[in-house]
Amino acid sequence: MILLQEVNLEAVFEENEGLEVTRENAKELRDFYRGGVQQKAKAEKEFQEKGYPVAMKLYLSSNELFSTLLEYIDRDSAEYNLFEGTSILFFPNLLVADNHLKMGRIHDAMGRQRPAYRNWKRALSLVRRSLESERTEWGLALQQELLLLLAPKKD
Amino acid sequence: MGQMVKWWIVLFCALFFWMQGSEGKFTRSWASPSIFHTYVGQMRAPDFSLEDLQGKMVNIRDYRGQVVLLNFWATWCPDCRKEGPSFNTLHQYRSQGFALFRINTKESRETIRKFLEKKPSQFSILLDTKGKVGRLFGVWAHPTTYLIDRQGIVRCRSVGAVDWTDAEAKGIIEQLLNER
Repeated sequence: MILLQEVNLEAVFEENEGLEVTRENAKELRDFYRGGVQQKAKAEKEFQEKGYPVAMKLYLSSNELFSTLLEYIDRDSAEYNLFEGTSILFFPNLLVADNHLKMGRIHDAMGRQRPAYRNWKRALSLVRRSLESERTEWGLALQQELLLLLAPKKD
Repeated sequence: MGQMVKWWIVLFCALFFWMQGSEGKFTRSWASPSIFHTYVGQMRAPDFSLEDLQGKMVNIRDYRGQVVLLNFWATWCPDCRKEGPSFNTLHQYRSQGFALFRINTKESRETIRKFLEKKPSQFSILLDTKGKVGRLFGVWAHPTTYLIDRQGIVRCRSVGAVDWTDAEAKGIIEQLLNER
């Protein structure tokens, strides 16, 4: 299993800082990944500051970019080889799952239980897909969190 | 007889339009798409500084106001070797405010020097020893080239070997040089 200090959200953000990729400028699969990560980084900031409507838009736009990529490459990897001697953390499934988890939390905070549940269900299936290709502490933690959110509530 | 002439006219017209259509199709299928991807919007180039082959520090901010070409390359990359010599023809633009840096990814000075003995470069070679600058630009393949305008905006990218003696490549540089 790959530990959280090696593979985590901050590390993914750090690898994709720099020249911005917008939807219009995404031409290659690598652009779609980079753009998806960059949109997610912005969404996380808004989410933490409780700017929910903006965060929601950014999560959706991040997922849109990732979904193009996932049509071609649907496996996560801690060492996705770009070229000789250079690899990146490549976790499109886990990142989309995390986006769904946060979108679910936004719906939940606004009292919309059904869409929240749908987002968490979707997130769980993506986390499982991620764990099938790369077993990470990050993925297991997300899975645990989602199972708790989806567990029937005791009155 | 009149009927016959009418049929010939119809047949001729049909043939004419079919040929027009088929020529269009061929033109589309044979036309090679440009290797250059033009960026939409104002994509500001990230700032960075790197050592050149002689050990001098180069800061990209110092070249603001000039048209800058950044070429990410490595000696192990066949397409980089192929396009390398064609950069030397861009020397003519230097006096107009053109700067070109060939950024080598993660190779030693010795490897690069040995390579340049056989294939000399008239432009500065910068050393991205940890691949940090490549990461800032999101380089995922070699060679990748970025063209930055005088305002520091990334205007264009190419992935793969470019013949820099070609009119299209030179045309893009000239267009950027003419913008004030």
